[in-house]
Amino acid sequence: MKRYLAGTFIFAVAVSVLAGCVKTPTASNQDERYTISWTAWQASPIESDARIKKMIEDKLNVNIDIWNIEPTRFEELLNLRLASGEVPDVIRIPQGYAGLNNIVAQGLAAKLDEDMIKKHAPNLYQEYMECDNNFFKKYGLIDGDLYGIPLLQWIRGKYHQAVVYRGDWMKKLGFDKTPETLQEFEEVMYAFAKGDPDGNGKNDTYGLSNIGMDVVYGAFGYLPGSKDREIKWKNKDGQLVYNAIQPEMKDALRVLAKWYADGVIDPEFVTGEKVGAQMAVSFINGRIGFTCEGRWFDWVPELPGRKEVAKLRTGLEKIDKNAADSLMFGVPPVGPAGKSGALQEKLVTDVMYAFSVDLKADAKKMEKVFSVIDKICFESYEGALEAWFGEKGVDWDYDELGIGDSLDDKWTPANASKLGGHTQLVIFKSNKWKEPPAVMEWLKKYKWDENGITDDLYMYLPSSPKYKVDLQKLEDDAYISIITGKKPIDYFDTFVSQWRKEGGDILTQEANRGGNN
Amino acid sequence: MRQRIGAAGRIITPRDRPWYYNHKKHKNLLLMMLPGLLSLFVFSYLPMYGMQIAFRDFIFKLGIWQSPWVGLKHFRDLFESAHFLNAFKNTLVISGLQLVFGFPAPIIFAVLLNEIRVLKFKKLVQTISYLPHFISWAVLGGMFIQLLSPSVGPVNLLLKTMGMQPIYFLAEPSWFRTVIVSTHIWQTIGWNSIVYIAAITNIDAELYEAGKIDGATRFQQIFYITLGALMPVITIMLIFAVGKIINDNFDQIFNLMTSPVESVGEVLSTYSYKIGLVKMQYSFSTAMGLFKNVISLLLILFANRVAKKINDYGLW
Amino acid sequence: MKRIHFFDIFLFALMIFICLIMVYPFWNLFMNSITAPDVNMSVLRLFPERVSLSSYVKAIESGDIGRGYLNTIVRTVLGIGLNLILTVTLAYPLSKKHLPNKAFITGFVVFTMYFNGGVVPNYLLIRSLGLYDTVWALVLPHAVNVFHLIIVRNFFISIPYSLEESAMIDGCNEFQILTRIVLPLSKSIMATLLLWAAVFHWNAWFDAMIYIKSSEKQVLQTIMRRVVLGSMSGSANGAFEELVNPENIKAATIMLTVGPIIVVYPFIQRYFIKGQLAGAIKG
Repeated sequence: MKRYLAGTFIFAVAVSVLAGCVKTPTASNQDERYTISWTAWQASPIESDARIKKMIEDKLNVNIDIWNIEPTRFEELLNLRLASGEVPDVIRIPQGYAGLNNIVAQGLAAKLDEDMIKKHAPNLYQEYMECDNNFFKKYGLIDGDLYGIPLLQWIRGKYHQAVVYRGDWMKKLGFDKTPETLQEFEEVMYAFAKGDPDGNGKNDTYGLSNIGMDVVYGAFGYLPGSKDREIKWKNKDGQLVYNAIQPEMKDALRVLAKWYADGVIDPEFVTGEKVGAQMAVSFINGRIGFTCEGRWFDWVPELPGRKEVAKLRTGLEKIDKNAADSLMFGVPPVGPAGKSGALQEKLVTDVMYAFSVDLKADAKKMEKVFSVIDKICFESYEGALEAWFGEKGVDWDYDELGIGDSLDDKWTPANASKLGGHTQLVIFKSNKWKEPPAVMEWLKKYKWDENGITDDLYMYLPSSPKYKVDLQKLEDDAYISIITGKKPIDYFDTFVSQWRKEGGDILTQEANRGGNN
Repeated sequence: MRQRIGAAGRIITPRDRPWYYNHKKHKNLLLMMLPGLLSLFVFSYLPMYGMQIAFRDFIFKLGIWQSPWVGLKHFRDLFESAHFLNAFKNTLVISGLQLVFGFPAPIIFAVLLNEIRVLKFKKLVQTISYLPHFISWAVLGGMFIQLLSPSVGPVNLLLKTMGMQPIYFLAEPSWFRTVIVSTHIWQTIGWNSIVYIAAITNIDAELYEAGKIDGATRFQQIFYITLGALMPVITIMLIFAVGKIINDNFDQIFNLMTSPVESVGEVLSTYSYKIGLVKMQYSFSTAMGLFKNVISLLLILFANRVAKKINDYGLW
Repeated sequence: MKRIHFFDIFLFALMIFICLIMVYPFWNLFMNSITAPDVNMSVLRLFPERVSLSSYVKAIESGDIGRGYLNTIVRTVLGIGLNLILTVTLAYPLSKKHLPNKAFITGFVVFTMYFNGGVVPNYLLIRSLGLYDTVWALVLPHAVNVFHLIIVRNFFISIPYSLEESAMIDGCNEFQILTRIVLPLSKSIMATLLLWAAVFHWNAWFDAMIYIKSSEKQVLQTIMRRVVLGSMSGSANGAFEELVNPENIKAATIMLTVGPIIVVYPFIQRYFIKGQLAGAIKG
């Protein structure tokens, strides 16, 4: 016993001496309280006596100066201050690589060092490596140097868009399960258009509109974008290829043109299913019976533990409760060559953070910035919840499913933002955030995580601003006129050569230039 | 002019007075202006040094004074930019449409209002018609977006009940200019009619009496007497309206524009805002503003001169 | 006689139609704001299906509206005061033929209508004057509106000079003439000027967005825009969930913003119409 005590004593002394040795030189640094200026997306501007912010600041021994910038005009207002010579330490860039490129060109962003990130933001680093083990050599680069850290969206980027049918129509027309092949899909679409599923005696329903076409293209292996669908490139055997010019798309167009001629496609597809900020309008209004509009959380039924409302399902519920309750979710139908897919947003978003060039001169501060971000956003679920909601047990607590939720039923993002909560400090959302088990089961059951087609381009194409608008117009015109039968199917070949000639080849070259393997 | 006799008996003419004679005499007037002029000097003239970034490549870190000179580069770029030329064209097209449809509207309104004999009703109509003038486009924008919304907007709901397809007015390039011009008329018809209503009230009632005696019908009276009497005012207003053709209503277009209609809706002011503040090309944007303002000033000076010549009426 | 009779009815109908078009957008807004939130909005209605004030309660509960009102009122009152004083003291001398260097001063003033330094130097100026994040940044730069100045000046020109001349003979100086003779004759143009200044400051939002950073100092328009446009910032929201406010709440917030103008306006409109006329016609 004595020996044991002595041993412990010696050990304790040794530890404290060692710790002391390590501690002494850094003690002064820990005392120094940095002030980090910070830009975030804000539901509401932060108040001067923000309680949650203060709590986190004291916890991490740092002052965080959050700039109030109106989110409705974020870019302009931030740029104005940048132009006036004020640069925040943490710069939010909502416009992706184009925005990052501007800031780097103005010399305002610091070049980042992967090892520094690894050392001072280990949790962040680990999570980004989970996304792509070459992450910091692929994303956020300008001319091969690392300047930006994009946000990851685990909730959206892991699951494809909806593949949703009007269940009440299906039942009425005698389909008891969702189609699995393109052939079965075709049957359902024809029935929707011809079988008067809404029973009003008028021939006023269609199978699908523009966004529903995603799975038809997907059944041929590629997904061409359109003016409001930002998906362009696919990695084919290590080469990035432009989806809309692939020969397989000609076959897809042949199918669509036939359907259009047969009255299966809503002629309004030219203007689309989306109207302004409102999504899936044609589907909700009972004009079409199938759509790929919306993400899973827009349609998810009420499941135990889920708190937010599903926007599109409730929209439909207001108009037709029965339809909302009988929605059927399917998988992208498989095409003749065995391919299938639906649009999936990128896990790596276009929203990025860059860091002030002034931090370059103060390495200690730079390290502190990364460690603060790591501790607030990535270190633990509970830590992030504290920065999001406030004090545990007072502002929030875990529910029976282990999910953190506010204890105040009047909680709103705007009110939380005033105190420094919500996204004011949690500028990155880590994948430690949890969804209720029932939701995860539901997602698994309908295979939301399989067969998603994403845009594989992750770089800034310097010539994109020059050609983008005109090429997009060329593409939209070609696709629309082929589907509507104004141009023959073979016009596709003319379109492809024109696209390549008018800048497309240059974009393809640029997309394949930098370290893409 | 009063004259004073000097000591030597010589007549002192204004010529002999020191240059500050008048200033001294009217020092109170000059003193009175001081705060106003000072305010203009500080808040309008002091920041004008910023115009030089049109001739420099503005680099944020260096600031306005240290950024390198590039001469007329940005002005050359301006005329090579398809976006600028398109915005220029859109500005002229929208202003032109507003001139063709928006200019006569208040005149017709004023003339017809004058024919209303029930005074109380006339006053009521006037009061109501001025109201939109006082609401900002930040509010009106939100209102029209809702009103014209394809899913919940009353206009489209009306179309639907009549069995027509809903139209997304604000995202449909073929509709956007119509929306801009008609909301412009909606907002300004009442307010702009004030000038004409006033001119009509100044018309001698005897003219109408004489007209009646000569057997003029009511339409003839409107046409010959009312409109005839309005002609000078109309001329002046038209000259100034033409003088303002390069000016666009930033607030209106900015608050109503959506990205699908940029090809027809982007005007000089919104483009300059976007390229400057959003895309960070301040120098280009400033060059554009400078170009526009010079043309605008020349046009208005010209209009002022023409108006003065025709009718001895000028803005200053 | 009969045709004229028909024409009168037609005119009457036309004017009522115009009034309806003018009023309907406001009515629609009002109706949305008092409709119960669970009512389906995609059906055409002239009157609300079920009336509920819950949208107003929600809009006010956020706590920002009250503060916004206060800040906007402070801004408007200060703005009106400065605007009236500086505009009158500048317009009166400019209306005098014998003002020394009149052409130069007029040019100095008019030039500012067409040229400005741009938003960056303006921002730097406000910062270096120490006005940033204060109400003065919102009122001082707009103390003189040249367009209004010219109209007031035109009005002053229309006042018969004989009145002032007799006062001058009585030994009044220019300040006294202005306050005792000219201003009492200018009530209508003053009312107009006041209304313009009030409407301008009530409606202004862009400058507040640039120059005000404290959330405690936000003006009403900024808050209203945030509520109404919240839905459009979906893409700016990045990886986080979108915030969309229901139409009813948007409508209620807009109503709260324009309410005072709509309520006050009919009572004061008869004053300013006179002023507008006098200023615009003469010259």
